Amino acid sequence: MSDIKIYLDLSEEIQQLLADNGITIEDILRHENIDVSDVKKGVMPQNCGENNRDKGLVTFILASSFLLAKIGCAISTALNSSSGKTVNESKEHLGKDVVIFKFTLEVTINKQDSTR
Amino acid sequence: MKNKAFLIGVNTYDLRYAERDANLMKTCLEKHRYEIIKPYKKERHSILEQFEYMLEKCGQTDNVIFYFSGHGFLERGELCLVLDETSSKFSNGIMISEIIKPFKHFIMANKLVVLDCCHSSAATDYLNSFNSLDDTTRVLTSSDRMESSKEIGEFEASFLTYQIHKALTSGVSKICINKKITIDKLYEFLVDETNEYNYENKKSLSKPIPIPNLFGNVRTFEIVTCDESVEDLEFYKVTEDALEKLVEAKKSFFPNEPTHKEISLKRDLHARQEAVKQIYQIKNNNTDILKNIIEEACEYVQLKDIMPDKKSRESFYRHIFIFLTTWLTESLKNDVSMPLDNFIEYSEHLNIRPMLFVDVLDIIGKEKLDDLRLPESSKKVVSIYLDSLVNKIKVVLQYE
Repeated sequence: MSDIKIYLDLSEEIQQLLADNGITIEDILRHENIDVSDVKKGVMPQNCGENNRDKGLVTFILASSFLLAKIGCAISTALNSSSGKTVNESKEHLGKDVVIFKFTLEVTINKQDSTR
Repeated sequence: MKNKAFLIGVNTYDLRYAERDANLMKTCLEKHRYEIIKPYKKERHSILEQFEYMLEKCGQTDNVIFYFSGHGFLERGELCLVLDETSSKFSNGIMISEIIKPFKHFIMANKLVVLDCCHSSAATDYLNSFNSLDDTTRVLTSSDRMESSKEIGEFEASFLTYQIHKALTSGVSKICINKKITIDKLYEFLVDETNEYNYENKKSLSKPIPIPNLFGNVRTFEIVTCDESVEDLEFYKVTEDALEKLVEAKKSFFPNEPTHKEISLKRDLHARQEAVKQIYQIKNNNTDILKNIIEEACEYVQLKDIMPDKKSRESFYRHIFIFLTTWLTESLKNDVSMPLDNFIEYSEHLNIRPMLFVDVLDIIGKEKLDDLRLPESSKKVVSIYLDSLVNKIKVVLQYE
């Protein structure tokens, strides 16, 4: 089975969380015994053709499609335990070989505050 | 005291303008007499070696700028400046601490780190490390710690760099105070320009351009000293040396001149024929036309468009010639660097738009300088002024 490119689209909050804790996506995957030799940096595919381009890089993983769920689960679990918040994940397929995996932290609303 | 700048621009991962950014910085800093060092190899080891070598050669009174444009990312919370895309582990990236540490170690008058990359404000994590006694380092960044910087297709440059270049070239008159441009004043300019751009493009931008940040102590840093030779020039004793300085000074004579691109856009918006038609609609009487020419039309209407009669034009030329020679003589007597604003004010006082002088200046030329009855050396000055006016206005008009 040929590899697919899994781009990780992490929210600002998650990036901050990783930076604050001095950990990387590779660390998380390594911890879950996932081979990290094909973890790379690149540009979001949607960003490539744009007139105004972001100067940021994202992480992408070259992996077989059956690893997709495992990778998602590993990242969500790790982020959940670091932040104490629920991690939302969603997938977007761009063609046959490219998947964008989006992770955000759920915003918790304090009910008492919200009714004021 | 010397000014030095170490400039790096790297087009990696689909970036198009990072190298051009470094060239833009080179152009505007060279104009302000900075010595430019651009690393000949985009390799981590080589860059760091050259950077430290430059710092070693700096004196205690020097001003130094480190500049980077390219991709930046956070590696375990530390900003990494990307130099190539061959290594997934970025062994060829520069960690920002590798720049700040030597920067803070060496004693110099002022040190500025300019980062035009994503996550650039993460660099400030190290601002208070390494040498806490150092209070001369400031960091100017294009984005916040978690923000992305942008390359703008329309500018063919990264946003921050484009605005710095603009500030130090066409924007000098706005930010130069007492012949000095300080980092604080530059920063104010950058923030204003960013807010303005975001406001004007709020519909087309998916995300606003990040507001630049300036970190460091409260000491202000004179990035450049504006040309002081012009005002100090004694008009009636013009030396060859002073003339050379004047030639340099004239380059910034029309600081707000629009770029060719801006002119093309304007030309698209207001076709020349359309403008001429408008003028005739406003006034049918030739004698009053000059008082009522609309601003946009002025920029690309020639005198013959509104004064088809040759005799009228000649009479107008004579009038302008008297005015121009008076202006030149007065300005040269009083202050060689009489700014363009005064010139515009003067011409408006006479109800004449300065853009129309292009025709006049072409006709006057240097051969008419004899009429000025000025000393020989002063005629040279006038000649330079005329050249400057003709050339600059020609650029403005894309005059053929």
